[in-house]
Amino acid sequence: MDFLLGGVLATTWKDLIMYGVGGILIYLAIKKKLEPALLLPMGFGAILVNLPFSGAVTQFMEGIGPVEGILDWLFSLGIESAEAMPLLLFIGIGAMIDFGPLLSNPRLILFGAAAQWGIFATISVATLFGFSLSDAASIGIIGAADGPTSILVSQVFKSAYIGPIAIAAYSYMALVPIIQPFAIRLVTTKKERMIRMQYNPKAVSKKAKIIFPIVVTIVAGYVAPASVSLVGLLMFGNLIRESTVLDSLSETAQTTLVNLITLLLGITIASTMKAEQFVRLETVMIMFLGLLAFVFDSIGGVLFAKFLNLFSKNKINPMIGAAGISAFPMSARVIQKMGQEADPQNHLLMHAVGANVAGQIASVIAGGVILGLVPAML
Amino acid sequence: MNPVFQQSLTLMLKGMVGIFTVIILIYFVIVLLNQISKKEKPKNDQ
Repeated sequence: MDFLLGGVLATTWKDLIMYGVGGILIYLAIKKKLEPALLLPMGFGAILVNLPFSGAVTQFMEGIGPVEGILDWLFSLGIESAEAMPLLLFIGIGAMIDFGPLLSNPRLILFGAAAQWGIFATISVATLFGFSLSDAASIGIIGAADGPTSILVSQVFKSAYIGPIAIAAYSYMALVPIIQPFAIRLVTTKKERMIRMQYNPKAVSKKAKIIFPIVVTIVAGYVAPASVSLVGLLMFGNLIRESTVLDSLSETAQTTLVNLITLLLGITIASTMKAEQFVRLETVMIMFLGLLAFVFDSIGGVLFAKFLNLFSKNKINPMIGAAGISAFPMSARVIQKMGQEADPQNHLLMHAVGANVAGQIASVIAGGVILGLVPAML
Repeated sequence: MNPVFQQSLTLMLKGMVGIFTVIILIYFVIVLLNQISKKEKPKNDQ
């Protein structure tokens, strides 16, 4: 009868912690509605892979040899092999984005670049914590505020921390409404938050909207070739949308494709959440560094907007800089809300949306730039 | 100074220069596209 008790006897305290982590993720997804599409599968997956001798992951069976588990298979096929899942997700994301607010107010794109500073600041702090440069880069990219980019970069660098990185990326993205107001208040006064901005949208032609994704891909490709897979698929999705001749494909990319990949991505990432890899001090450090990345991003964006105000006649509300992170559209909504808290007649939404979609472009470029630079420094 | 930290500072400098270079190029692309949109508008108005 030993085989009936084998599982119970093989359970370790680390496994029990992982059941707790899984339970917390499921609670946050269902009760708090924090990124439920990702956190719920990850939470359930955390339990699934940590059951003793779980058949969901590869096990060595006596007399048979290794028997591949479905989650390990999905990981090797969908993430390890050419980072297919996170990349394909970008087609759907691209099809969802309307670059109109950015095209009608081009200077907003600069905030997308400035708000990526948090990535690099966090990489530096992570190296002080003792992480290698490639692991630090994998952790810093949490600041891209873009789950698929974080997964992709950490996978390319073969980081052992892909599970905690994915959890930090998605959890903090859901916590943007709490993190950003705190970070913005640290570096702005109420008077600055009250600055009003005129919104005079320019008409953007269909031709311009079609040319934009093609030219951006070429420009990014020449300057940062490693970003081509990220930027290219994002812009491919957007081209499908803007062409207006592939409406059903655009609809499929935005709904079915995104849903299908999201469904599998969360539970696949869970295959990296095995207790022996997850329950360690580094996981706590990564959660802290991820939070720091979001705070640094927001501060970087705000300070850059203040810097531009030194030379600009039409003052920019510095909070718009913080919308340059990629968490779309949460960040834009946070800025609008904070603007109205400071002055009920202040409408910043469209400016913030422009900076926010700029953040989408800049975050994938940041991912590509890091993929291009770090290997040469190792 | 920690050599890995030093490398990370170099990465920060090169990375931000790289990102801003691409973004500024895209900025000029958008300005150019807006000119196209402007030129197209009078045509459509006729």
